[in-house]
Amino acid sequence: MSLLQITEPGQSVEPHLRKRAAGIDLGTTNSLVAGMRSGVMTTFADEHGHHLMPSVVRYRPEQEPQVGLTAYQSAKTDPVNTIVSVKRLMGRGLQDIHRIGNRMPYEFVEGDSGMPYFRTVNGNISPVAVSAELLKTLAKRAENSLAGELDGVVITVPAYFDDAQRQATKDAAQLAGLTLLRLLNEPTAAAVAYGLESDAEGVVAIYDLGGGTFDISLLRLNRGVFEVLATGGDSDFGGDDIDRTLAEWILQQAGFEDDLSIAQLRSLLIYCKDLKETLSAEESTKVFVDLGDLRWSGTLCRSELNELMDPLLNDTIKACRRTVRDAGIDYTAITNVVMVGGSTRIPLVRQQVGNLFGKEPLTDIDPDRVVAIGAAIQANVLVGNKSDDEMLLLDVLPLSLGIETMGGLVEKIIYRNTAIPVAKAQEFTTYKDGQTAMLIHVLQGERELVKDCRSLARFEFHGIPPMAAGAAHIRVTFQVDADGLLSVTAMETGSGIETGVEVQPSYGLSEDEIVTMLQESLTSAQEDAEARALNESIVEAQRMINALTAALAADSRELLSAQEIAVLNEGMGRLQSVMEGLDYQDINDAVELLGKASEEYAARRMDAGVRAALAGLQIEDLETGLEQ
Amino acid sequence: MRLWRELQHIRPVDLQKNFFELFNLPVSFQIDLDLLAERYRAIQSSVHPDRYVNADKRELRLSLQYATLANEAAETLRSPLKRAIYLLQLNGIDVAREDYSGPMEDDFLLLQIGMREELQNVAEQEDPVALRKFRAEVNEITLSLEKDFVGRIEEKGETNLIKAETSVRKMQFMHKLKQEADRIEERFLDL
Repeated sequence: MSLLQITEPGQSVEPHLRKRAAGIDLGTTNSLVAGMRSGVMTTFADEHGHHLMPSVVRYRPEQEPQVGLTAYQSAKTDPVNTIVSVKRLMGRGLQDIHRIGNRMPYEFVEGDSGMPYFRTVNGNISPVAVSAELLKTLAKRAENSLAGELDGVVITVPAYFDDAQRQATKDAAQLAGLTLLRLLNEPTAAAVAYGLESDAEGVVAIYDLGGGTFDISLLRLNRGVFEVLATGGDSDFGGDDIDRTLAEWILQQAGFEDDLSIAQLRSLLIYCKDLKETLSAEESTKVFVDLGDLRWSGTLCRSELNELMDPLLNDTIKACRRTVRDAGIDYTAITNVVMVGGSTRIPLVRQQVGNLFGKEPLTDIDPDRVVAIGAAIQANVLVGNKSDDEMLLLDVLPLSLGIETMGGLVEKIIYRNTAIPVAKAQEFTTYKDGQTAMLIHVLQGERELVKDCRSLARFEFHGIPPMAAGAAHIRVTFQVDADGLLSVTAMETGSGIETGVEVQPSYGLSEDEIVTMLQESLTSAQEDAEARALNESIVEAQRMINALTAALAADSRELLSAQEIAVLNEGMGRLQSVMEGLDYQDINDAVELLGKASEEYAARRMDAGVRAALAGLQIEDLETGLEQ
Repeated sequence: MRLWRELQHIRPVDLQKNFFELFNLPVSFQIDLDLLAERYRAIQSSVHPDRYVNADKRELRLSLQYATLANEAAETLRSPLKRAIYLLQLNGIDVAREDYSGPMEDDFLLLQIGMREELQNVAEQEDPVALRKFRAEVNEITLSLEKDFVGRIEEKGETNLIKAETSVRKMQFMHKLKQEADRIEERFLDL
């Protein structure tokens, strides 16, 4: 295990002033949580010393679900109620399941918004709720290790996750009651851990093959700025698929043609995973399968396994080539190749990646833990434990965003590998006289046809003033934030009326479903809701007062007139006085008012910040010039 | 540019700056791309939403808009074609306007037809060497168009601007050819 020394000796922040932050790697097969303990960034172990937690949840009648290793151990005996590899179902619809579902030993029922729910002895459970159980257990582990409640977490997602998969992960965090600071792409997290440890500069390729997802990212590292140049991958391919291919091979060797029972399938897959892992160290191994009517024994050597894996791995190599091309760089510009994910322990993977990039891939940091460590470093920065000017991650949109046009075609609006945050506005017009509503179908993917892309949502705009065809203009702005999540705003530009928008997410949970689930998880929903609203308002108000006080002390003289300062002080005074009352609505109103009053100041501060950053560069240039 | 208006609506200060001014670069086609990259990183380090995680919602939104703007500006200036289109826009010419009916010289039309045919042949014969040659040709023409554009845009004046626009329209055509050549190359490379 490699440890990262983050603070300089003697400079560490006083322990009681430190906020508690954790990085969570929510993996397909295994999950981890990391954080800073005694000035050292480390993954946390459970009470038995295990760092990896199998991403498995087992539901039992009228009991709390089992999570992790205990659940994993019952995967063979209670497969229907034991959910493994739930990550593959995040943000997916029932129609995806019909494809994946054949390979998965669960029973599915349809949720309110087309989302698949698992039918278990403890009722119907959504993939988001299963992930929330995993998150809760990991967060608890971090809280035990850090001796206190977490102030915030960073959760990693595959870089190639689409909007629906990201949103589902964010929903899971909300359901688990965690303060999500950021969704971070797994290869970017790995680059952070790697880059900070090795002090590397230049272009780094991160090849990340996990249990169920594959990512390739190219990043430029430059003085603490990690800039993603391009990313590619497959969010539905991983080590699991190698196990499955191996299982098919065994069935073929055994001449077994009947359908396997759910328990047999689960046992065989687990057995194949062990075989695969054995062959990463050994040249050949004995195979002995005894699962009721399925019996077979023989030997399997590494070269046979390699032959089975080769076509699968070839697709990942192709994705690497495409991504290098997208980044617009030459192979010679790539200074290092870093391996991430348990499946990169397979010798053939290392060999093929090494061949492609013409370099020995680096495996110095444990490929299982590097993502969680990187996430924890970022969480630590975001929660405010480090000074601001040290590290910045600039990521890209992994898959193009577009809208449906005539004939089932997709018109791209934001292209893949565009730096985020990004926004694009597009004008739409009515095609019939008096038309008052309009439907916009948003998709994500690279293909030209609607049916080959992922449907994200349908927006119905209504309340458009009746006009002649083509006279009404609706301006739709697509904004992708730093988490890679899309939001859409619409405005009728002729009248300036914000039109009503109804969003139907294609796969995610609806807002109502989330609220219901949150309420169900609270014992006395009504009281709690009131108390929570008041609490949240006070937190927000206090946050605003603190930030504004600090800002005024720092630079109000340069940026504001005496009168402007007086207005802000008065607003703060008013906010402080309503905070003593118990009416959260009053507090929210005062926050809103002060927010409006201080907006101009915030903008000026941001401009001043930019001026200072650019001036800083010029001084640096001058200094290097003098040295030379 | 729509985003621009939105930003003005929230903050009428200082941000009358154009993309060049944002990065403290001269308003010119010829810019130092390394300097742009360095200043882009400096600006993002100052305005990125990750710097405002603990700020109130308005400030966070402002930072999101500022970071979005910096990304758009950098993307525009990085690409020679987008930079040229943007320079025309600063001079009051919208290349995307629908009512354009300007002239295209006959010899350029002939060149277009010839190059399309050539590319089609390359694709049919699956000849990577010929494709490389074709791409070099496109590059060369693009460079000379850019040179022509620089001369015109720096001279200003109505006639020069019209000529500059014609150059940009030709650059757009060359860009499309390059994209098609990219797609054919992807097929050759089995990507």
